[in-house]
Amino acid sequence: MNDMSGVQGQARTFTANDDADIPRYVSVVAAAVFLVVLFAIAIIGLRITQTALILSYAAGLVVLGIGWYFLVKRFPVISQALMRERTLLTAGTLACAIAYPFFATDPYQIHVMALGGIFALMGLGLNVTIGFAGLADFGYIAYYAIGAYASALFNVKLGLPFWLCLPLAGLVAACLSLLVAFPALRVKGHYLALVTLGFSFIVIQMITNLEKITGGTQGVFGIRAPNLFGYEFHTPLKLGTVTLPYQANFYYLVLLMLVLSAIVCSRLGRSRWGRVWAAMRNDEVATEAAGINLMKLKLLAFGTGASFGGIAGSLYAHMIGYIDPTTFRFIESIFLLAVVAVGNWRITGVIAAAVLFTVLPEKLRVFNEWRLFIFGFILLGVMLARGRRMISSRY
Amino acid sequence: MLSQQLVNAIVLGSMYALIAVGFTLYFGMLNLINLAHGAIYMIGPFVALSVYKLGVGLDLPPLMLVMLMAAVAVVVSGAIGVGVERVAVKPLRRAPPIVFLITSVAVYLVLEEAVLIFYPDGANPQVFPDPFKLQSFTLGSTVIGYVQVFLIAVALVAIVSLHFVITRTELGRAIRAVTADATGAQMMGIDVDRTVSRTFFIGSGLAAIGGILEGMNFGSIMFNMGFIAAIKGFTAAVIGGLGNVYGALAGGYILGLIEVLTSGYLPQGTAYKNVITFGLLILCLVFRPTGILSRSTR
Repeated sequence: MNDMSGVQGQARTFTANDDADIPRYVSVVAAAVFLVVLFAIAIIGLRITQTALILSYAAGLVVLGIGWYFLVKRFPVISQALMRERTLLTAGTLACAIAYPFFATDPYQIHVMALGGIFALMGLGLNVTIGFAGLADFGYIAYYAIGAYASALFNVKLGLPFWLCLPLAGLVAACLSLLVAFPALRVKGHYLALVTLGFSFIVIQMITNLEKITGGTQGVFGIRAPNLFGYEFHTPLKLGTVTLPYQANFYYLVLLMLVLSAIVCSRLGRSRWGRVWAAMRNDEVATEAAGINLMKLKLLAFGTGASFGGIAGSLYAHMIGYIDPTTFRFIESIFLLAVVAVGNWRITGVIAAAVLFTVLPEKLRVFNEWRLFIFGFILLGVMLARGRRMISSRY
Repeated sequence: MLSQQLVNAIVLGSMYALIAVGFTLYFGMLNLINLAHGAIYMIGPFVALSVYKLGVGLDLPPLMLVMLMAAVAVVVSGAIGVGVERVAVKPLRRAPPIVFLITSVAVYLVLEEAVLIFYPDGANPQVFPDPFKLQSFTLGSTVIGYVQVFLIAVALVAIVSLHFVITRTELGRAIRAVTADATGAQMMGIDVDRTVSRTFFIGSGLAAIGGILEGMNFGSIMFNMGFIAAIKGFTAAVIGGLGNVYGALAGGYILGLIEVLTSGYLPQGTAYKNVITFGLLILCLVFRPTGILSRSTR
């Protein structure tokens, strides 16, 4: 019944779009202007560092946001035009992301954006488990840690190149996630949350304690950066007359992985698996009654989600070159859940939320110890304002 | 040796039990996990420490000072708990559980960072006073600190009064009714909002006592002690079956016992304490998917 009304609602908005009656070139120009303005705002926001400037920038953002809200309310045609040019907007955003390192002044900012991309990669993976399949995974950081350590150890101890470590890390994370997936088959909801949380505790404590293999609290160092046909990732990137700092290499690598993952996720959501996962999320009993093997589906959801985390961990390990157990904090799993929820269980939303979640605390660094305090308030405000309208998944 | 471990286990279990009660009460009523509960657990001893610093110059007898510390901490934490309910729980009554979980993390961050920023020297561990000056007595071969006896007694008093409130008072009847069926309770004329609010006061007060217990037992408190306590308390509540108050109490003591025994008797037990605790927990949940002590599968 619910699904029916949803489909009809969508159909109606599509007709409304066609009725909007604005020429194609107008909407294309509108989308382009929108994108350029947004990109400029983002670049300015990333560049400023002084406290006073950041405060006035935030105030400006609030004013702009309120203005935009009333503008769209008064002229709904604007949002219709933008909705029609979704594909163009996505492509444009990607172009902006590619262009970003050329506009950045500080190599550290590029590094932060790369970290944001890695966080987004994890968010996409968690979205597969909780958003697609509705399985509450509270210990996602475990797969990230497993991937990072697997990749680092393959690289340092066995001397495997990064390009082999990356898929191996994903594979190892997926396989080890089955350790928690099997017990998780029997529990639901909050109990599943606790099982996965406990699993992440176990993984991180094992990493800390197995000093012979993982180096314990000392961590693993000397993880080599990727090397592409003799091109070292730790050398500045020369493109014609422009020289980008070496952080840009990693930035583009992360961006590439993120784009691939986004494509995989969107295909996955519409695939046979994705549809059966949605069915399972909505009603397990009915799905099982329809002759579908729930066990296989749940294992698949855990494994697929975890492999994204493993790949993200591998990227992190090779980017930083050093990992230790303190890198992987339990609260990050909860932050990831927040990213997925704030991103409204959508691929673009999750990526945007993940980048915001990385950049915002970095920007708030000028407030020193007030940083997380302000961040907490912002998160609280967002949840109170949007919480009731968020999609209610099974968990 | 074993009796020594048992004393430690009871003290540790009391902390877990007191924080677990809040988790299980809130879950039973509103079907939500409130991680901000951990921050309230942490605020309790900080308030108590402030009272101690103010009251130490007044030359009060130690027992009276401790009582005063606990009373003020319970009231302040309870008030904060009620405030959290007003601000963050009530507006999200109909939201999916995960939305509330994330909101509670935001509240947790705000409270924790507030202590870090506003408490003098809040970034460093604070020494928590022992009113009994580390005195102890020996019973057979077991060395028991006066403070441990005191802590166990406090926990017992707290638990007995909780039992009394839940079984013998109007409020307790309302709590049980709302836990069983909120809509039905409302139809019978029970003010659900007020009951939930008071439940948050009770849960937060008990958590504050748990935090003070931890402070007195280990001699120091820190602004970030709430997160791990919240995880342990949630674990204890799950062991007992979420929504079951007595289960949560038992779960807390079981968890304390497992932790103390694994670190005491297994080789390298301290290093692998959490591994064994959570491993056992996962195994137990596999065989009893709705909590180990829960009577019926819901």
